[in-house]
Amino acid sequence: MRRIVAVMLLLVLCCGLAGCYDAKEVDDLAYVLAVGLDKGQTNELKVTMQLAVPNALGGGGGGGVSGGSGGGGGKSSSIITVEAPTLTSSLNMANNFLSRRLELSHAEVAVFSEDLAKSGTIEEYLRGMIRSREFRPTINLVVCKGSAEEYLKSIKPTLDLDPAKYYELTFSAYRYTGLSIRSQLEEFYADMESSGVQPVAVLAGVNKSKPPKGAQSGGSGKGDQSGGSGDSAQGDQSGGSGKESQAGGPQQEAKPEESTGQSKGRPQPFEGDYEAGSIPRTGDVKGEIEGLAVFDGARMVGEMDGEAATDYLLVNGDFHTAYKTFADPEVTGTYVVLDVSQKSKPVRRVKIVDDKPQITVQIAVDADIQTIQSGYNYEDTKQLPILEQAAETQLKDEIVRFLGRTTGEFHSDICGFGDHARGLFLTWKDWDDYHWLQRYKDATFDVGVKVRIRRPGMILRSEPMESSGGASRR
Amino acid sequence: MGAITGMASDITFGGWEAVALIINAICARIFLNFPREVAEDAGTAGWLETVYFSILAFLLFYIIARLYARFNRKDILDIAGLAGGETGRIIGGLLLLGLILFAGALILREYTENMKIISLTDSPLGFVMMFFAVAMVAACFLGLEPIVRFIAVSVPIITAGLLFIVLMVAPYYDPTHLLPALGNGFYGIFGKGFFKLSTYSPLVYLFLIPPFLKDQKSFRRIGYTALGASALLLLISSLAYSLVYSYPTSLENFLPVFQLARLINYGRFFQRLESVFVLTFAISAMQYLGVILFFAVHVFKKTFRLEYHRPIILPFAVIMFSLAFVPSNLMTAIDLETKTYMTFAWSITFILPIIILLLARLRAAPGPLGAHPGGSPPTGGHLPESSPQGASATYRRRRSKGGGAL
Repeated sequence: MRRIVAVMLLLVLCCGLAGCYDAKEVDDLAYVLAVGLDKGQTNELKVTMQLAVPNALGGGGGGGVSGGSGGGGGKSSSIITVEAPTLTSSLNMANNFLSRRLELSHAEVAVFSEDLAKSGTIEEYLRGMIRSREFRPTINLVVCKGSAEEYLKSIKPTLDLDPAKYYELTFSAYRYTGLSIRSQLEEFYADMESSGVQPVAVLAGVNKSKPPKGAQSGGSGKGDQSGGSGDSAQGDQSGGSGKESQAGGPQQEAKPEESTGQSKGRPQPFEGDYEAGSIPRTGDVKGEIEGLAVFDGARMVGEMDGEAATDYLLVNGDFHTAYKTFADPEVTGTYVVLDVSQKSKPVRRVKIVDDKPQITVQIAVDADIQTIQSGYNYEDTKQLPILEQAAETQLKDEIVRFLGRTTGEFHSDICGFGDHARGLFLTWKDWDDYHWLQRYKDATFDVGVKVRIRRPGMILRSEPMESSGGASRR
Repeated sequence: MGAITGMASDITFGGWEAVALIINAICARIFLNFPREVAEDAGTAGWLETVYFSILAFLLFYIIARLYARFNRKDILDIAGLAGGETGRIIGGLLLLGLILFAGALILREYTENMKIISLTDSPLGFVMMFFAVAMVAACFLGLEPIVRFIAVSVPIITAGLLFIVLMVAPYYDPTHLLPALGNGFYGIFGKGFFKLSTYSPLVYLFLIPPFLKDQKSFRRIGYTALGASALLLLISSLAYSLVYSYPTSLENFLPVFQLARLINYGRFFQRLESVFVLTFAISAMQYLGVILFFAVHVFKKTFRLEYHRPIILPFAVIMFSLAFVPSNLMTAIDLETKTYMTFAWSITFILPIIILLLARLRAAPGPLGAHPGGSPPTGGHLPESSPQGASATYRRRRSKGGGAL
């Protein structure tokens, strides 16, 4: 009898624990998928929230959150905007006109406008986010060129009904594009406080390209051959501004000056020569990511293109795999595309000579041949080293240029060489006294890149094309 | 380990149960503040500090175990009686009781506040605390044997939960976070680290359970095993935390292991695994609080030679419940636990027993005390309850009077 009473007492207690004060019905909550922060006009902050519309996601259609304002983010989501002094107070204010209580635990992305990031006030909001139980520490952190509100409104995914899935897949695409990076709240916040590494964020933007009159939207439709660097274009980012686009593809309105290719001395931009917002393309989703936003502490000090994102990933050992375009070393004006992957973590060494940092980086890359436009027989083991050497030289130049910008232009150790330099000191005080972040601008680099081509793809030997004019191999 | 019989037949628990009891009591702090505390002292060398004070704890336990060799099957209160008579036992008992109640009240408050912050945000503090208090009282009414048996089963599960979290955050590990190797320097590691000996203060429970252990060899083996396993878990937790969170961010996190668990994210379907933490945290908390209340009552009963412990369970629970509300906020409670408690707890755990044992050895006649079954009566022919014969006798008396198990 006593046992029965004890069990019943426990059951009653369990019920109390689950439902007395903290009961939350799933359909009483409005799940925020994305948060955007801009400078406000009537208040400190303009907070944009993209909310999931569960009925639409579940196929029921309609319904969902009432009281929303602003433009809709597609059927499966609704967008609201609130001007408030702080992020937290904006939630309170939004709950005044939403029928459901806002819930942030499923938020996938926090977008900061470029203006806000450059003002350095991002720290104020991050401190609130990191303290909050609701924000996940793994939430993606993004800096948007232009307005965060505009970016969130531009996300109307067509392939994925669920915007949360769209964000998850898009922000993990760096694993197979190498053109953006991973930037999560926890890492960003820790880097912001660190004296050995500075933070970076994903760079996003709203694409301004307009299709020419009469052109159909929805991509180039040329698949693998849609652009000089189009071999590495994927999904909505198909195409490039290569030869085909000059010849009159849907991207011909893209201007060369919008890419960073010219400044690198390239006649045609490569896939990494763009920053978010300037990719020459069409497509339903106007929002896009490419490149990275560079910070010095909490203040954004610059932005870099997709190629720099690749270099960042390679130097940090976070590069997975991606197609990468190289200039053909033997046939000018044509390209070789390699499927590149990082063989091992890079070797990074830091020495301090005459009080200045000397940094050595050794990067090992494996590659498979994806495209040889010229048909040159690089598959031949005697010719292969020529291609490997060319790829090494190009990659090394890119990485040296990238690292040079971090010291000369941004004075920001975004690759975290300082974390390695700490090993040269015995105690934290010794390290603190060295003031690494102030001295990083004087750092010199010795970069080594080793490229080994392992597989030729599905073709083992390139043969010339025959025509009435004879063999076409150049 | 085989079953160790504390008394003739009724109350028995094995060596593993005793080991698990001590591991759970020591390692409960991993789920609270421990990984952050060592980072506060030693910076990037928190793991080194853990190794240091663990070695110190081993050394001190070695001394205590050697001194204990002559006091087979006696708990520290019996030995205090030998050393200082009635007065000695009361002083020793009150000091132990003070330590246990102080720790118990703070830990009850912290567990409750933590649960409120991570899970039951809208519930009033007293409401959440009530659940811990109910578990505590229920455990205490059931007695030591059910408590240790439950702990023996749950400690492997809790350990697996902790190791699961530690392994799953491996992608976030960055060995450079352990640099500079000496962190905040020698004073941080070895000076401040000395007081971290208090992390092992739950070892005091080991000095209260010898009457239920078979022989002195078990006492030593249990002590060393519990210390070794606890040291390993403390080291793993501090190392994992330091590898993930760079200094000085590592100083900021409330509930370090929970923060680690929040980082686990493998694809779209394998994330939000902090629920593993909440489960292990709650189990660990409830059984640890049960142990605390039981030993608070037990020490009080033995100190003042009370015959029954059940009538004082509820009053003691109310005292702990009330004391838990004394700190005006969580920050004060954490300060009291990580600063005040850590400053003195080590002395009651390690120094007080050494003093008592030395005095008792000086006052006792040569030759093993209590080596024969039941041990020698400590004072005036009185048979101590905690000796197997005494405990057995008391137990049988209670059973016959409906007093329940010890």
